[in-house]
Amino acid sequence: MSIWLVEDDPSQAELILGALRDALPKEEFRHIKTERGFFEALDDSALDLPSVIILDVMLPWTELRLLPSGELDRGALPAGYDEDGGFYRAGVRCLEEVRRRENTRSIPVIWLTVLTNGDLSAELGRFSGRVVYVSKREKPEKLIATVRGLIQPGQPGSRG
Amino acid sequence: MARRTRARPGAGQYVRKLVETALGQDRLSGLDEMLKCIAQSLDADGCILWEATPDSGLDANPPTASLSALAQWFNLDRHWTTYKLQLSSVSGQAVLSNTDAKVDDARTDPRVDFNLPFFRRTDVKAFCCFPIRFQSGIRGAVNLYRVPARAFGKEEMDRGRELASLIPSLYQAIRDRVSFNLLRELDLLLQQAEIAAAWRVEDAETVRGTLDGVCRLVGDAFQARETSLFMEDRLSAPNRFDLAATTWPPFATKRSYERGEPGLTPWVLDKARSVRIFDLAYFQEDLPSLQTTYPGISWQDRNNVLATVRDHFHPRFPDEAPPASFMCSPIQTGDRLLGAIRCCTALRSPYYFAEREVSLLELAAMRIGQFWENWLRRREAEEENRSLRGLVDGVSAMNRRAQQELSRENPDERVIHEEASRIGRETVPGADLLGILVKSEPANEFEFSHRDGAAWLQIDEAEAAHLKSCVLQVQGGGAGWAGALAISTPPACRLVRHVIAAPLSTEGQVYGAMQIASIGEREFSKLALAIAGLLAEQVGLYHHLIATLGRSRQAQRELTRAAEQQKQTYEDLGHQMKTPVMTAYAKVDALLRSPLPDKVRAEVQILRAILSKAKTVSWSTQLFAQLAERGELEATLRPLNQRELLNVINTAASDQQQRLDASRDLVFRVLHSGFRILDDREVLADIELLEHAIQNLLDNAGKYSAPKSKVEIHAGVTAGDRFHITVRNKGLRIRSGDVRQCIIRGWRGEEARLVTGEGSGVGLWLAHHVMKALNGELMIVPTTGESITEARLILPFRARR
Repeated sequence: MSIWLVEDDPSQAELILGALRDALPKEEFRHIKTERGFFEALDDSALDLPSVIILDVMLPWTELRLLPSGELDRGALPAGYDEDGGFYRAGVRCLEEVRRRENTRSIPVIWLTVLTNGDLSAELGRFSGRVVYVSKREKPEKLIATVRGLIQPGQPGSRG
Repeated sequence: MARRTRARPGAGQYVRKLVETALGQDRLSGLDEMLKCIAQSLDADGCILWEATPDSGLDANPPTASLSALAQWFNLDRHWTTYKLQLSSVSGQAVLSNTDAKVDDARTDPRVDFNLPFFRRTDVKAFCCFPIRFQSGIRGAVNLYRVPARAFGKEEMDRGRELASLIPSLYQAIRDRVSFNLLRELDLLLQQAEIAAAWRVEDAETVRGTLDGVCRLVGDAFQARETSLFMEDRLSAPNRFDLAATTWPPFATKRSYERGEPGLTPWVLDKARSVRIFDLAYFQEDLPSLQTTYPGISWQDRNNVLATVRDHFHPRFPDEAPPASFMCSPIQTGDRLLGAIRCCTALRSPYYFAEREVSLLELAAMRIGQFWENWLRRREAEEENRSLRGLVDGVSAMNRRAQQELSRENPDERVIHEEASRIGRETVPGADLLGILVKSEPANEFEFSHRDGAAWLQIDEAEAAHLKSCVLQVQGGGAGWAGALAISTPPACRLVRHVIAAPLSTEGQVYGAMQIASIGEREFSKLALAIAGLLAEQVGLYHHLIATLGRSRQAQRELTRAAEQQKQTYEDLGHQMKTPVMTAYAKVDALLRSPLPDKVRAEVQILRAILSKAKTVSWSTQLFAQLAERGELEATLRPLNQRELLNVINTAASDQQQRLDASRDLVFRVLHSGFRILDDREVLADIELLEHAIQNLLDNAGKYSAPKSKVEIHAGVTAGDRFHITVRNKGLRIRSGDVRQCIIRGWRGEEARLVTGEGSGVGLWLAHHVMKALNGELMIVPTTGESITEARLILPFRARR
């Protein structure tokens, strides 16, 4: 079992992971930096499914990787990416995908974001009861307590 | 040799002489010459051509008629003149029975009343009478008179009968000639006037002259004492028929007529039918017949005609005045009545106007009508041209005024209303009252915003209010409706005759109306409606522009206020951030220069890198404020040396390296060799601004370089002999088409957006402004095939001093 952190900012990721590792030393953590990376991880059958997903909302699509031609390796960019809100809706698309797939539907997801719950009111309404909102402005203890509550035995999220 | 003897002329000669005489006549009064010829042929002292008066009933039972002299000739003087003959007379009975009659001695003939004034005046004792029938079918007679009691012999009677029988056809020939001449000369005259018009020498005076000529021609042809033309000038005085020309002293003639007035000419104008009266002086005898033929004529004003005629003509014998004959025909073109032409009282024989004369007058009237209508149409066309030219100039002037007004802080829409009214007044003939009504706020009622035209002074407020209420009918036109309406004048309007109104609307809402009214009789043309519609649309357009501009200016003011506040916020924020961040950075930097354990040094280096970023943000905030206020940055230039510059670049590269995600394995490297040129030469720059530009370039390189690649910072001399500091990296491409755009604030390449949420597209924009302030430039070299991108900061060189 592991906890996935989807966060593009390396310094923030370092701070968050540092705090979680100190508080939950037995847990494994996987750091994913982009929306595309998240989808690839969901598709990677070699990986165990996580017990909790901590998901930033604003994420870039991909990491900067160049193809042999020198072009950016874009991967399968979702159709209508820009029209849909691109960077700003990445975390929403990730959550939709988690809730769409049969095997990931019950994994608890935390939206950890600088956006306020007012900014996200429409999305929070849509996913009411199926996502936990935690602001990045809160102290780390809030996130730790939330994660801890979600990984108690008997909680949904185990792959078995 | 045959001896020549003077033989008496044979009957054929008399006939030939009569025919030759007739052929030599080109006036109707040529009849007199024919009578003279007959009289001389029979050695008579006088000859009269009698005709049954037009309203006679010779075939009625009992017959009622009198005979009237159509023409006469006497070898003495005018004492002979006589005009009427009773049916009971010898000649009357001869006409009635269609048999010749002769009186050898009037003094003794029981059929003759020798006491009649005619016999007393003339002393005629013998006469004979030959009944004839004119070609119109009317009966008449040729009478020959002798003063001596010398009876007409049988041969003379035969000759007289033969010659008399020729009179109807010869008279017809003269009439045909006169008709032909009249119409030909009329055509010629009118044609000349039309040609003058085509050469644009026509004016009202020329037209008046032509009509005077027409009157003279017609008057001459009919030998009328008075010939007058009354025409309606619908462009200046519609429904009024003014005296256009007359052969009578104008002061003695009525100046104008209107339909419905009592009298003969108004009846013609009203019914568009010709009228002919045999004798105005004795019309009452014919009244029953006249009332049937011309129903509706008011005869009341005819009572004193006899006295008037006598006053005018001063007949030598009060009971022997010629008939005051009258004929009047309408002048029309198609169904449109244009006027009337009338003739009064023949000066010479024939002494009265018969139906044949009326027919000729109608033909002449037709030609006059065509001429008048052409003239009106030419004037209408000229008027329309003038209106259109005035409209084009006026709208152009209005646009200029409007532009001036729109450039003012608070444009006054009334200026545009004033202009629109002026154009309306100058281009719409008959526009006496112009007004612009707009809905007032907050009462939501329509009020006059502008009124133009002196006629407003003539109407009272009550009429103005009626006018306002009727103009507002245009509100019912519905959204998007344009154009103008001709509106029925409310009955309460005392002076106003015609009104047109056009809605003023914007965004489908009617907010007012343009109104043009006249106090004259003339109706507004279709062009006037079109002009009103156009002006109203134009006014509506300006209303829309002013409203839009007002909103835009308000928005601009709010934006400026917001920008001002934002600038202030930036300045405050930058200022508040700068001091602690700079202090913290300086302290950490100083700490790094002291001996530290390796682990601590590594942490402190990270701390400095983070503070470096904070410093850049703080700087950027202040630069935003400067650019927002002045549009350019302020720089303090001083010479820089190699060491100072390298120190700044090395620190910036190191800080950038520290901030990077270690997993990307990106290396920043400063190549020192190119900076050595600064040993000999120097660049002038503001080191803080330059540092800011370098940090922005390195920040970009950090974000957009491929993992496991190098970011190199090197320097050198450009082809144009300037100094450059270049940041070269391998990563996201900047295509040649994007080079210009990438210095625009807020621009981010499509791929940049895909790989990082960081960056707001201001780094290169700020670097561009920094380099402008340093008299240099930012140059982006598009990505090469190896995905290498270069950003160059270029500065002018100078020799070291």
